[in-house]
Amino acid sequence: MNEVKDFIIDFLSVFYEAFPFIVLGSLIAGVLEEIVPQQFFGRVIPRNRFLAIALSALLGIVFPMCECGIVPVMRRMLRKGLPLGCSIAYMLAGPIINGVVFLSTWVAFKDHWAKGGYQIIALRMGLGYIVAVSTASLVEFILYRRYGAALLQPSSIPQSVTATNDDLSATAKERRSIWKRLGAISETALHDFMDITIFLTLGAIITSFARQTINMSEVAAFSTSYPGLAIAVMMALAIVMCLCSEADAFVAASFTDLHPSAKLAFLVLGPMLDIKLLLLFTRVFKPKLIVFLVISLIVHVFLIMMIIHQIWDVVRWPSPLNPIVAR
Amino acid sequence: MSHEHHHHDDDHFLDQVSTVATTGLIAGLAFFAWRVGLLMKFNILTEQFNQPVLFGSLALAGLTVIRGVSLWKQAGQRAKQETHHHEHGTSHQHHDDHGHEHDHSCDTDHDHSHESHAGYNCPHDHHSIVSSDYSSDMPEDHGHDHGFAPWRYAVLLIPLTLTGLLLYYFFAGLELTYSWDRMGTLLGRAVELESDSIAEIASKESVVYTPGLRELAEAATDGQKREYWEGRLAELRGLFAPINEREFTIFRLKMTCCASDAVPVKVRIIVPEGLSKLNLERGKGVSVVGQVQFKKVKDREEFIPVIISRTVKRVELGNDIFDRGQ
Repeated sequence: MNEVKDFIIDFLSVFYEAFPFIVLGSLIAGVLEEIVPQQFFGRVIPRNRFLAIALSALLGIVFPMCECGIVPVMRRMLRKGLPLGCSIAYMLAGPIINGVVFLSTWVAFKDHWAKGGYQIIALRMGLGYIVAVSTASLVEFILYRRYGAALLQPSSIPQSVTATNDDLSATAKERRSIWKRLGAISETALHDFMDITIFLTLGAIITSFARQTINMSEVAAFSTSYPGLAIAVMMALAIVMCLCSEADAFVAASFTDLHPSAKLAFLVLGPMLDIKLLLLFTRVFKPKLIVFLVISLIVHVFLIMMIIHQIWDVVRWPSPLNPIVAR
Repeated sequence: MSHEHHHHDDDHFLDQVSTVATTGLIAGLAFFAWRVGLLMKFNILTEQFNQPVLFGSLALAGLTVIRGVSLWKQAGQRAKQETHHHEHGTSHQHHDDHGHEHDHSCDTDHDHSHESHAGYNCPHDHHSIVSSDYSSDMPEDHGHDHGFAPWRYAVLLIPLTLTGLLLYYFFAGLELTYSWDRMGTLLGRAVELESDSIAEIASKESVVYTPGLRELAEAATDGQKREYWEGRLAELRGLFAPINEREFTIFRLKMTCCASDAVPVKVRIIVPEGLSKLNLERGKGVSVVGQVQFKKVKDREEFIPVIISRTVKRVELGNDIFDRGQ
């Protein structure tokens, strides 16, 4: 019975925390689908694709979304001509590089300055950006060039239009009444809401079961002495726990004994990849791209955090094992 | 482009009506949950994240109403068309091969040839497809699936049912908190202290303060705050977790957004006379009055708050197990 109660609390907390943001994301998706012309993004982004990806990873600063809400928005942006690499850069970096997440990370780690809190805050943002841009570039310049639109689910494939048809379409839209446009927005928004919520539900079920079996403190304590293991374990926890990027910093800060590199692995990977996101990805990407994203993110984060671990100790930044001693 | 453009209108309408019903139900339940404070009562969400549930439910309700009315109108237009027997009816055979089952109904009079979809009064765009960097040879599906898939609604019954169960707990006055096993897991192992002294130090004054657990836990990281609190008397209330025969942890959970991100805030309590006579139960409420000290963790440059207790007694906390920063 206790397990059932724990399951109910875990499930409903994941579901209702994400619920308003999925509604918001779906509403924005509906508006994008109705208002933004086909290939709009293709026309406004820089021609240099790498520059476009690098800028897209910063979109979260002006257009902040959490990792659940960002999926339907990103799908509609894809359909409106935002290149795949740019969409992925926004999807991966958006939930980390925005004011709300910066603030929550600051609040969680400001009292941990003696253990490297300030460095963690800055590196979360910086490394999140690097991982997102690097992964998005690999997708754009290697995977997309090889497989093209076969990487996307049919519902995410951008539709290119002839100028004539686009004009006709725009004219047809102008003729439509406000009510019909609202009807169209509501249809798309509700469709996206249903689509995402179903997979959020499945993700929340898996997460709630996983949390029944994993003792996070024990796992973290076990890995304290081994940097590689600690980083890998914290990455696994990030995938299983499915925390909102606005809250995960407080959980990471609670692992007081862990080296900052392991905490950073948790903070950088979590908003980009977890169980519920994996299921949400299936609504946008084909398995080939999902597998690539998973491998790329895991390899990127692990390698970068191993490097950070070494640098941290070389430059003697404060950490739980080498804190700045308060009076 | 010759194709079977078979509109499975019945399936589509069934799917759309089911969508409207389901989203309406979710919006209604979410609004009700917000209205009665359901999610805060059971510590599912913090107050800060409970408010967005209201906005989410209202936005979803609004979308549902608009879609419902729109669907109602479409159904009316469709009925009219069926009586007209126009040249290709509602289940019209098209000869434009879009390569897919075009299983939907649109807000349209269907008075068109479908050679071009311009002017087609659909709530989404129909375009001819041309190849480009980001277009595909795949059929356009307007960005959403068509047809009725009952399993989707079956999955959504899970959050609806569990919310219903939570409402039952609410109105039946039942408690729902994390089990001791879960809280014990969150709590982790107690750290070893450098000093095992159980003596009180010189008291600063006789006033008994009531700091929150979080306040003392945070003070441990700050030299000035440690100096302020050390030697003062404090009363703390929280949950009891035994460590050994004369030490226990008093703790509460602190959540940022939701129960899933809960982490414990804890203070070590040392009971000089031992725990055996106190008859305390793990995971249950306890109140402690004693002297605040900060003790260094063995082999680490870290301090934790410790109370050398004077009185310890059982208290009833019910659902009030979360630290709210008091």
